[in-house]
Amino acid sequence: MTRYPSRTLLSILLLASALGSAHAQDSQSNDSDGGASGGQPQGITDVEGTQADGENGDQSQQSQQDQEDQTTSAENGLQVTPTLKKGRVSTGPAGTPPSPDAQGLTPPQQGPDEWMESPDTWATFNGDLRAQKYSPADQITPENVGQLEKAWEYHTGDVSDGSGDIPMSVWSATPLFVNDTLYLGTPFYRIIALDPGTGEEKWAFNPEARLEALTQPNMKNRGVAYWQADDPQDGEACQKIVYIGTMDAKLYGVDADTGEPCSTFGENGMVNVNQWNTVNAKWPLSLLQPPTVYNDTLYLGWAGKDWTDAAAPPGTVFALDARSGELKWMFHALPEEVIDRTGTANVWASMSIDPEAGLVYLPISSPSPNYYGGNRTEELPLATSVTALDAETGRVVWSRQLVHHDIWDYDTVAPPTLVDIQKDGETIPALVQVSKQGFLYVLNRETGEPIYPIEEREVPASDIEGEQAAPTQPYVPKPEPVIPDEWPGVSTLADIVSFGECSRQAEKFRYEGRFTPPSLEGSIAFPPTTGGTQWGGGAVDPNSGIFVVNSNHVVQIYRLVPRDEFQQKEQSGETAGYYAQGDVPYGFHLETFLNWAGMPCWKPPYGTIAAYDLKTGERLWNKPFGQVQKHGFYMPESWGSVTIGGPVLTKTGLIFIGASMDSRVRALDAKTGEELWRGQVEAPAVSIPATYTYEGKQYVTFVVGGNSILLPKVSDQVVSYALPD
Amino acid sequence: MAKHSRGVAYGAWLLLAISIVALIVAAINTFNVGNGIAYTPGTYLVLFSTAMLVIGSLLITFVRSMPRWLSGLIAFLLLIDLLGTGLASYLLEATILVWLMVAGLVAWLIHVFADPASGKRSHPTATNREAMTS
Repeated sequence: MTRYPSRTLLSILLLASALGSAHAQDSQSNDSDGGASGGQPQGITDVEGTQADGENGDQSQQSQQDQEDQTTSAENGLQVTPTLKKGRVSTGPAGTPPSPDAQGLTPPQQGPDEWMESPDTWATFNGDLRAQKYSPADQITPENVGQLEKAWEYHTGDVSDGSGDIPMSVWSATPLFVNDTLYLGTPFYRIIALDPGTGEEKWAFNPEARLEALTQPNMKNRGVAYWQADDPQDGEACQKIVYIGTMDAKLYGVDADTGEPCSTFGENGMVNVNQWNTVNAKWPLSLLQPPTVYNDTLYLGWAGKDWTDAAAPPGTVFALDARSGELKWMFHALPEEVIDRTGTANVWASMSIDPEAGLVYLPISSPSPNYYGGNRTEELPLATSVTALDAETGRVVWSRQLVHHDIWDYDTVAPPTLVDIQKDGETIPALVQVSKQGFLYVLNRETGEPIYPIEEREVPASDIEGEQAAPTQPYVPKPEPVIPDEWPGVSTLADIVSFGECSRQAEKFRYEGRFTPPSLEGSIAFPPTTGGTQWGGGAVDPNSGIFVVNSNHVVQIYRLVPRDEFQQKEQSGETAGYYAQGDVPYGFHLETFLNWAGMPCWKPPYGTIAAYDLKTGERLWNKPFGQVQKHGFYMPESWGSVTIGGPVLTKTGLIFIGASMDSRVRALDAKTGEELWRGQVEAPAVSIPATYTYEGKQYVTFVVGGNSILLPKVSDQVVSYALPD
Repeated sequence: MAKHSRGVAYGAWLLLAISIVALIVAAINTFNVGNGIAYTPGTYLVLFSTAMLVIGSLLITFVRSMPRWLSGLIAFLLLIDLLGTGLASYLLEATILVWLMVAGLVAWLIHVFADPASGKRSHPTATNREAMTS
């Protein structure tokens, strides 16, 4: 081939590529504009079926368009299908691409797996797929809960206070009880199987994972996931599998009976998820949250760091074959045209699934960097949203954005809780989405339409050059937000102790209510990145429709630092310190509003727990929860505590929860919020407890790991409580 | 203050016993992992303050010939120690220590109002001088 024809061929290829790219962008644009969002405020729901109906049922044209939209990725050979709200699905070798004529709800109507639905088990991170955190166990009641005593205690040995080579451990695993075994994942990424009645170790699996702070400042783990075949064959290995992910993006699958790696899963029991980390791959896709398991499929999100760079790995969710680890599909939350400037919008929290409808619900986080959006001013409708996907294909069925142009790190942080609500004589398939911003979004889970109204309200503009804060944000007046609209104001005690420094500082900061943008002088953020509500989410009694949720009342100061003034290069903490936000004009400084003595400058309470009646949207009670502990001293109960972790509800009307700073676990009366029982543990139990029935006895088991956000206090304790024999 | 020149100092002895028990309880609180407060600055503080309580109690029980102003100062410091340790124990939710400090306060009152005088006067009175010269 001569040089001239080569150049001609290259030109033709480039031209074709450019045309293809333009066409693809045009198609995505049409997808968005042509949907229900066209001409409407951000956040309005698109429903595929509705959209098609709205286009006069011109299905052949739609089908043709969708077929045209399907392109093949040059990078990995996966078939890529654009889907609603600028999302994309890459279909892997084990998957089926979305049907071009898919109309609304066309999933397979699979139904739940039997082993997962047993009333005695606690088979998933949230107890079940619907993230209800509800147990029908009824042995422990409000009348006898005061007699609870420690049944057994176990120490994993996987703990670090950060003083040695291994970073501090942060352990928030939910213990799983299934297959007559209690399964734990540890912050050193070991799987441990225990006898659920005695706490004796059955087996342990050690992947020899790298114990380095690759993406998080601490060694984190939120447990394991379990799968079993519909009809397990006796004597055959890996008919039941336990999975654990690592910070360096490796997913291990081991036999649930023996702990031996499953040779049929990935390569000798390991899938390297980082193989799909191909864009802005500056760090590994940390697998700290166990996958969600449904219909022989693992749904897997990841965690990273959205504070170091603007261009970061873009948010993806993987659906893997539970037996082989093969990729079925990969969902992308960000449009292709922005991924050289932004990233994340990932799913780092757990997901929920409606097994009857075949929908998987994603809590999608904010795009990077966390606190400045001048690099990503275009509409990113799937960022900071709750999004429903067809569990079979990954296609977006509907999505609702909860924060527009998120510059507060208001990641959608917990899986929506799925529950049917009896309202006005009707049964409504609903979900409740808790949030860092303190709102409870109660939506129809089939359509995404609000059951209680959501209002678009004007919010303050940013005064930062290059920033374009959204002019409006969604507000949910009912149910009443878990934290008040206004920040609590300066604490008199803290102000006296600081000789007036708290009030002097408060006057300097910018504050114009919720959604006050970050500023150069510092903005009061209430709620800030800590929430509101955290990843523990809420619990619901599906019979009564009572929803319980714990929340934080924290004030932080958001301060942008011009790049040329940004001196400190190292991040000094997970929720406080300097954040580089490289490749945008501003670094960021985050601090909790404390005085010199470490006292919060704002009025208590610092944490509450509340119950809502979903039938009416009314808040039934709201109380300070837990106690702050400083230097060993407990502060008054009326101050409450910041909490990390979630509650569990039982049929008998009991709430079991750890989560507080005071290293205590508690049982509350769901009717009143009154404390009925408490136990002392070694560190804050920053996890969701599990309650299960084994050999006729109900146990409540807490993982006690600690979290440096609350206290520099860690543990490797697992403690199980039961009534005396 | 009512004082008797001779007899057993029941209040001082009681306070000594209470402070020794308090020291043992404070040590258990400090080093017993799993109680929620072990190895915290708060428990170290209470361990120190109960140790001071023991020392002060020993002084008022066994050193009967110290100057009166000193015995008064020690009694005052013991009161401060009792109240401070009580408050710290309350904030540590160390209930036993709180009750021990209440009992210690009662013992302190007995010591102050009912125990025989323990101090020497700095300047002898006229009556004493007469007695010495007769």
